[in-house]
Amino acid sequence: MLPWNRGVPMGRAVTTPPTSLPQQERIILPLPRGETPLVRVGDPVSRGQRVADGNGDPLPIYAPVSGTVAALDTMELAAGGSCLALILQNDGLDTAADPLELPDDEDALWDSGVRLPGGRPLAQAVTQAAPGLDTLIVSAMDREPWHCTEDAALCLDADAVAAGLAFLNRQLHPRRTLLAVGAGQHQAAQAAAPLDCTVMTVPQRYPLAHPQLLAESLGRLPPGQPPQEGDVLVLPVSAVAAFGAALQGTPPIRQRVSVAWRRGHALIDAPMGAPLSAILEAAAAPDGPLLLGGPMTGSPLRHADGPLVPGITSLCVLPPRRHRNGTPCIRCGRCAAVCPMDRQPWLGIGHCLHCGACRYVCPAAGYTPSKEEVLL
Amino acid sequence: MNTAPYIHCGQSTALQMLDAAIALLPAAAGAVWFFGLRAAAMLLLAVAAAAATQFLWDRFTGRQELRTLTVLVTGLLSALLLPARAALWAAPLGAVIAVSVKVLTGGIGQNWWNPAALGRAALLPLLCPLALKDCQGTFLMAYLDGAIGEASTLLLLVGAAYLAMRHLLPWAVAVPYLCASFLTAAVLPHCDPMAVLCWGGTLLGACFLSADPVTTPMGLTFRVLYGVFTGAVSTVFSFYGWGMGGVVVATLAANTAFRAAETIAARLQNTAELEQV
Repeated sequence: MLPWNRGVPMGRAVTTPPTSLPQQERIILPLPRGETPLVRVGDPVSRGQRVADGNGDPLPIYAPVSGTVAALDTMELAAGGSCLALILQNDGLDTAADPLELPDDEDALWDSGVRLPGGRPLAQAVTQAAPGLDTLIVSAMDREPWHCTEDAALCLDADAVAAGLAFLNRQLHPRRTLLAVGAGQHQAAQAAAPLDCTVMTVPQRYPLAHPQLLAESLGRLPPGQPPQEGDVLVLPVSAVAAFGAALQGTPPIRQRVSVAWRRGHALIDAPMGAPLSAILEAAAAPDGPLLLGGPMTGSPLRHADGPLVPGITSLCVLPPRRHRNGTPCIRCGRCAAVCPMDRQPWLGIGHCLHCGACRYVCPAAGYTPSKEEVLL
Repeated sequence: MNTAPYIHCGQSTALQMLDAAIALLPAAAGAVWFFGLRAAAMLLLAVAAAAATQFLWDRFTGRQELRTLTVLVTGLLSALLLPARAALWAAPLGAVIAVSVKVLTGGIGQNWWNPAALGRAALLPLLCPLALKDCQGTFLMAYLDGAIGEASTLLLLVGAAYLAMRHLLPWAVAVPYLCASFLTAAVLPHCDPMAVLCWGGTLLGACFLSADPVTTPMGLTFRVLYGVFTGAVSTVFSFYGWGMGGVVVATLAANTAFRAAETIAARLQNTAELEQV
């Protein structure tokens, strides 16, 4: 048991290089937003080839492996639900297409196909914030305990981050560009030193890495207000790195996934569309209920065979735990003490970030995390 | 829990109550040392009576409050707040009243009044002459004539240090409480402020009666005001000879006033928020 007022223990360092996922025979590329396929069943594809064009938010999709298009079929997604998907048969030859060439204007953001964790296009966030941006904050802090994808993005892809950051600075002309690094992320701070931005150290405490809290603490956003358009823009460093790599010729066809459990974690470098079950196997994770995202705000993983899609950067294996009945609220006030928004949760008023810190420290909270209940 | 977050710090109501009971153990050991087997019998009888009462209420009303271990704290405090000269049945009777009133006013979390303080206050009519006789003169006179729990300030400090170590000591109440006691004693005629600070009753009120999260206010402002109010009033009561009785009466008055104020404040805040939307 940890002292409650230390909060949720944060920060697992990137200690080992990421493991590359072995070649997968079948790659599933879902088209959840009605993207138009540019290839037909039976067509050969090469790695990095543009295989679908966006419709609603016009982000293209690139083939992560070389091979043939095996089918265009409805497939189940990891988060639940299903949609039309391109299924590629990997030929194992890894034939590369021509390197991606992006225009030197705003269209590059759309053509790169980069999405933020959660699935929102990077281009959309940037274009909304573009006019009169005051502060651009790039966050190298992981949002959730146990995970280290953001830390890894800065430590391992510093070149790509530099390229992406240079482009964003050129396009957006922010008055200040800040890079938020957790107090314990020494390697990341070293990697950030040569970048064209001011490195700011933030205490490594959950949930201070939340974009809104970063915008408040570093961007001088008035507390309690959601970030206003055109004032402060907070971007995760992993998205900046992916965009930088696209500028250098590699579209976002691979993604690092942090698989974490109570006593360990692994960083897996996997192609988009690989089944999550293969990633879990490569991580040698223990058995247990699975989550998409982190243990504080994640959601149940419904189909472990679902494909890796942009936006999935972390998976969690929950510890097996016995059922515990809660007690009535004993009015200890810990929830208010840890609330980053200075709310009094028992009143149920004010703006809530849904960070879960209050429930984490609540001595009266009960839980029933049996495997069935989490999975169903 | 079936929704996020899926991890928990591991703290529970029962563990918290167990810690509060452990913090009372040095004072309980001191009571046995100073007052012998009689004190040991008072402590055991009080805890047993509290547990038995809670068990019966749980059976009767379908609650599950025995496993929150609040009875340990209630039982120990019920005995520690009584003088050694009290009749042997006084401690268990106080504990039974404490637990019963707690259950009847809504059970853990809902009760307005500190159970142990309420049990002790209910015994005041029975013990009043005794209490008055005991507590005349200076505060340090309380040493062996007062409640068995206040015998050694040093042992109470050890318990308070344990509470602080486990992050259970309500600093926002205890510090204002002690300051208010000191200042009130300084204002009162023929009263030594240092003696008030060194009196075990002050520490018992500041660190242990106020460490009950249920009956102390939740917000920081209310906590500080609660500490100031209780510290000042209990010092005045004790100065006029009520001894430990003064502390419990002050605690109960503060419980009532501040719970009511908190409820009203919450209503007002909710209304203001609704009007904004």
